[in-house]
Amino acid sequence: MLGLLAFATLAGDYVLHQFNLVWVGRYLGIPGTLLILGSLYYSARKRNWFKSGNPQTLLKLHEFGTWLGSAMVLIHAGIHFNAILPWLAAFAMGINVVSGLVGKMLLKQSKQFVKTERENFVAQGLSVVEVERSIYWDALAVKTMAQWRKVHIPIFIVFAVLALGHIFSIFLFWKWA
Amino acid sequence: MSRTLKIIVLVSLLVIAILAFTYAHVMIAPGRLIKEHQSLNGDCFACHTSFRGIDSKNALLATKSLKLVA
Repeated sequence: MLGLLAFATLAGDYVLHQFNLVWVGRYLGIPGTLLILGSLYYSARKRNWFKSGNPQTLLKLHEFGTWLGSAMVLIHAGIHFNAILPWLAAFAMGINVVSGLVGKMLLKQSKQFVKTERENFVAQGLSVVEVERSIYWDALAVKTMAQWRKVHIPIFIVFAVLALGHIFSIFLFWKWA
Repeated sequence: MSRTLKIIVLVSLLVIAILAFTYAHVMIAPGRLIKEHQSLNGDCFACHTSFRGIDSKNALLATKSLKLVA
């Protein structure tokens, strides 16, 4: 997924340059940011701030929305090194994407682990002890994900603050009138 | 998030915010000014007006201060 993100960024940048549409890249930051913001609905749903929506479907949308949004923001950043603040924001976003992919891998591994354990218990015939063991592995999977969140969320906060700083500076100097 | 991590994150962001204000031409500006305007580096508001863009009156005053126009 990370390789695909790098490829999509380079390909997008190349296509825009080939068709003399570099100006499109300047504005891709807006839909990219909106996609990332929209995908945060999953985070809000998971915390029960909202009641509607299937969390599993929302997680898929969160993964896709943040990936596509990040690709758009990376094309928007282009391969130009000018101001430091937007680059710090883009770098923090990149770390956030890597952290998200690690979380996705951990979740997949945890699910597989619990599934295998449960299958073993079923094959052997369930007993009270085995059920407790099953619960223990479930709890371990939850604990692993909770520990991962302790890293993923601070990275997101840093990214969000840097991105807000960049957006604010654009609003401050933009020729509105 | 642990207390130490919170402090590290907050201090780092505060340092970046201070740098953005004190070295705006490096932290925020999309490129360097032309050679004749180099002395205006770091003084973005010599030409820009907050949330309005480049004010031609300000820009003219700033350029006059550089003695590039009469």
